[in-house]
Amino acid sequence: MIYFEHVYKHYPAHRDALRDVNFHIAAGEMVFLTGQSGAGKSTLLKLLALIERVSSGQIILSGKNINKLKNSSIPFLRRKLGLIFQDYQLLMDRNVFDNVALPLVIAGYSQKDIKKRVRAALDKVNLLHKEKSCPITLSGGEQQRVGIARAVVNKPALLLADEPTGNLDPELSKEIMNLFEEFNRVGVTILIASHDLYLIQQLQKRTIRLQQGCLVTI
Amino acid sequence: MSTEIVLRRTTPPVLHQMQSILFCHWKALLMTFKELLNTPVATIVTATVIGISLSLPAGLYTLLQQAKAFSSPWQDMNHISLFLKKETDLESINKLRTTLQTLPHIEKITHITPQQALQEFRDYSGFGEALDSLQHNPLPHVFIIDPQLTLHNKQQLEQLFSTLKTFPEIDIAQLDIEWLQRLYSLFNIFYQSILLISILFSLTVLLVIGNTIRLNIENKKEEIIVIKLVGGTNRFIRRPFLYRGLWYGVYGGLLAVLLVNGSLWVLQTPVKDFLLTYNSPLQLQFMPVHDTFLLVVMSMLLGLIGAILAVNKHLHNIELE
Ligand SMILES: Nc1ncnc2c1ncn2[C@@H]1O[C@H](COP(=O)(O)OP(=O)(O)OP(=O)(O)O)[C@@H](O)[C@H]1O
Ligand SMILES: [Mg+2]
Repeated sequence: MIYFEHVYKHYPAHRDALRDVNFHIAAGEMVFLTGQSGAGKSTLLKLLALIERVSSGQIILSGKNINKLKNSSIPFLRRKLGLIFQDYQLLMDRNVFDNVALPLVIAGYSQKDIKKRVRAALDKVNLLHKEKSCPITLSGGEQQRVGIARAVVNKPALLLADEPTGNLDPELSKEIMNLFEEFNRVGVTILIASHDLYLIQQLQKRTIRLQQGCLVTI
Repeated sequence: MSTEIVLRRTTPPVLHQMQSILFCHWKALLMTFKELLNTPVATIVTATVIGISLSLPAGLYTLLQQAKAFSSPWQDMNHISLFLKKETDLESINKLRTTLQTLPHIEKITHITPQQALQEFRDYSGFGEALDSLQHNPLPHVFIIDPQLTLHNKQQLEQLFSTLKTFPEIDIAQLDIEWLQRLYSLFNIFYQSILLISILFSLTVLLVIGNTIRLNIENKKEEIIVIKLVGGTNRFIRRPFLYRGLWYGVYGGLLAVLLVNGSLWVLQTPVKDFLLTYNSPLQLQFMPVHDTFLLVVMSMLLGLIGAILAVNKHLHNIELE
């Protein structure tokens, strides 16, 4: 599903955030992306979501070279992905329901569909009873579950998570990972950037390791 | 759940999308309306600045329109005013009057004595007390000549005028049509000035709305980023800001209407008294309906344009990071 071919990424201030990265992730896989701070994990995920563009090389997603995508098409790519962030990126002035509904509102779903899908997504992350709450009143783990519900509400085939458990204690982290495993079991491809090696070991999944922009384990 | 990503654009069916686009616009309209009410002070300040800016040209225009309407009946009244020399005694005045009556083309001669003129001036000018302190009446005798109504030809009128000018007792002869012509050129100058003022104040409104929208964009930076991350198009992100501009314009326009009509109301009594000096029963009118409508629509358009300019300039400064 995902092919990286000789991918380089230079930032103006940092020459080699990624250097000649090559790997393949098959559909339905759940893969961890590790490496020390500054190794390029976030950069790699940003390239996939077209938050950044590659400096050279190609990224093939479902047979399409995403670098060739016009800027105006980027939103439509993002609607096919589920993005999950370390800092959750929730809107604090809207309640849980509206936060999860956002991708559907943007994509122009009907009120009825939105209700149905949002409820289903919230049910999966066990937060149906909090739909009227404001994110600020929720714990870190709950906020991250809202973030996950928002990422899966569009039923994406690919989930990208950048340090999804970075701000959570080990127990909550385990809970979140179990959620990811559940989604993976029904066929969603998942790529998770994390430096929580203990957690990664427990889950026994394929791991990609970056070191100063280079791939060291595939 | 599918296992492959298909990079196609359409998610919901097309017909459905048409409906939902309309629904999105309606929702954005309502949402921005509510948001503006949530920050009443900021909204009121912006609307007030717009309202004041627009009320000045709109108010001046309304006044001028009415001044023009008020003066138009005079177009048919070609008076000639004859101001007599101060030293002329009553006997000569009466003799002159008799002579004038023998002239052709004169319909009516009205004699206004200095006492009458002073009284009229005292009643309507508001300078009553100042006039009381005068030692003697500075006003001359005046004859107002109404030419025959058949005398509509300007040349004939001017002929009569030059005949009248030759009498030695007459200090100043005034063909009031000249005065009217001057008034009309003055009106034109005012119209041009109002046009210039309108342009300047429209620019002010654009700047005010642009700046307000820029601040709105700053305040919504996080929301914009989240929307971009979950696949919001630029159009989706722009929409609420454009509606905001529209609302600011509507509020500002309505406020301008209020300000103009409020000012007209305040001016009504003094203007009525002033018009009475011309024996006119006319009154200052409020803004006509179509002008009101035009003002609000213009204001709305200015709001929209200001918002479009601000959004185009500032929205892509917001980068995902
Ligand atoms: N926008 C940017 N401009 C310049 N340099 C950048 C930018 N983003 C990242 N970098 C640099 O690229 C390198 C990789 O950064 P990245 O954020 O991908 O690391 P990371 O593996 O996610 O680290 P962490 O575990 O701390 O999140 C870093 O050295 C960083 O300084
Ligand atoms: Mg990172």
